[in-house]
Order: sequence, then C-alpha cells, then structure tokens
Amino acid sequence: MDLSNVEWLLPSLLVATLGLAGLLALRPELTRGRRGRILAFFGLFVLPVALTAAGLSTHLEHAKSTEFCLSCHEMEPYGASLLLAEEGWLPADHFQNHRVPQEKACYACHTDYTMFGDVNAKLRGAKHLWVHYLGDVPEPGEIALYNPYQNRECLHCHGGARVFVEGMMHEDILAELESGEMSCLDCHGQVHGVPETSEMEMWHGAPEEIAAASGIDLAADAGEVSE
Amino acid sequence: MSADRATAGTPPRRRLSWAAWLIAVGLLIEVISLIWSHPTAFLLFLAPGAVLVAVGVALFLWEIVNYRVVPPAEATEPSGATNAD
Repeated sequence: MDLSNVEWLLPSLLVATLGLAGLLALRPELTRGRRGRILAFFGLFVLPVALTAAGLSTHLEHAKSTEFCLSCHEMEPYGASLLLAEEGWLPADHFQNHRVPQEKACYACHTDYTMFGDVNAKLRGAKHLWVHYLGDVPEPGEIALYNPYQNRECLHCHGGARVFVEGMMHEDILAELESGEMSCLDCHGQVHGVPETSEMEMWHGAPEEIAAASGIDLAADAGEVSE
Repeated sequence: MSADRATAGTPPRRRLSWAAWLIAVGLLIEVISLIWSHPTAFLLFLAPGAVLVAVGVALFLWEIVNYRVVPPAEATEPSGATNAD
C-alpha cells in the first residue's frame, strides 16, 4: 500500500501516533502492565519508525513536483519559460505538448537517469537550499547547470522511439548522439532563455497553479492582450 | 501474567517519558512539514523532525534493553527511589 497516494491517511496516522506518544509521555506508569508495554512498543517504536519512513517517501514524491521546484522565487523565470506562447522553445514545447508530465516537468529533464540519479538530485537540492538561505543567490540569467546537459537525459525518453530513430535528421547522427560526441543541444539549443523570455507573451492555456507559481497572472495578461 | 506481577511495583521510567516526549515533538514537526509543500518543509521534516523521532526511538530501545524487573517488595520500600519519577 502506497501511503503517499492517500494524502489524508498519513497525517491522520501521525496525529494518532502523536497522541499515543503524548499519553505515554504524560503517564509512563501505563507501561507497568503487559498491555501498556505492548502499547509503548507500537507507540514509541513501530508506528513512529514506519510513519517517518512513509513521511520521507511522501516528501521525496512532493519534491518531484513542478510546483515544488517553482516554490523558490529564484525559479520563477524558469517556470515562466515553460509557458512561452512562441513555438521553438524546447522546455515550453515539451511542457505544453505533454512530452513530459506537466506535474513533474522540472524533474523529468533535470534528474540524472543513473542508479543514484535521484540521490544526486536531492543532494543538489540541499545545496540549493543552503545557497538560498545562506549563500549568494545568482541573478536569474546566471544560474547554470553544474555539468553540461547530458544526451542520456534526452535519450531516456526519445531513444528507441520510431519517430526519433527513423527521423530524417537523427538517422545519420545516431551514433554520435549515443556516444555523446554530439550534444542534442547543438541543434536544439533554444532552452529556457532566461531572463530574455520573461518579457515574452505567455500561453494562456497553461495550468493556473503552474502559472501562479511562475509569478504569472494569466487573467491580467489576457486583459492586456484584449485591450 | 507472572511478568505483570513481578513488575507491578516498577516505578514509572523517566527515560521512557523522555523518549515519548521526543517522539511526540518529532511527530508534531513531521505533521506540520507534511502540510507545506516547500523545500524548507523537507528540511524541517529531516531535521529536527526525523532526528527527534530517531533519538526518541533510540532512547526507548535503550530503556528496553536496560529494563530491570524490580521485585514488588523492593519497589514498595519507602526509602527507595522507586516512585521518584
């Protein structure tokens, strides 16, 4: 049973266990009897450990969401770049045409598809938090990847796809793309384009919560266009 | 049932009470962190939330390992530290 899919269940169980732990804290004499000791074993060991593990799993799942990434204001212009109305921008094309899940758009392209890719992504996230609170946050246009973008991340989805493998452009350079000799971005280099893209027209069919997290008021933008 | 009788006079355990408080506070922090979807909430969950729960559980296990059955006669002696907790 995946507790993270039942949003109300985990907090309810945590509150119930919290009550049990509180009861045992206030009345430790309950553990004199056999029933009390069994209660303590579940209330102070089994349930806290199990629920903390479930809570960690829930947090890790939340951490993959687009809204989670955009909840730091430094990422707002990058979120806005997913909503560009103009065609040809790689992240916007992927986001708006469901080539990546909209609810996990950042994670889909920016995790490493390796054995420890998720762990590395979380460690990078911890570093971002450190910089957010204690470091010097770079200007939006100066935020850069730690390493050059790997073809591996693109090929995780596109590799082996008929439209990609038999595509006129890709057929001849497939070996170079797979070996990394040639980067996908050599041809598809129009990515986030921050900060220039912040002033461009936005797609009005964008999910409202993503637009709001990107600092964009779609209703106001629509008003401006109609005027 | 014999174990129940043997520990009937055992004093309430201070370490167990501390463990329960630590776990309760840790769980409270975890609940609060779960209703807030933000990187800081994740950090709050890990430290102090999960850390407090881990310390509380470790203290509880320590208490179990070092648990001593006090004979009823010793436990009810007025001069003993039996009901100090």
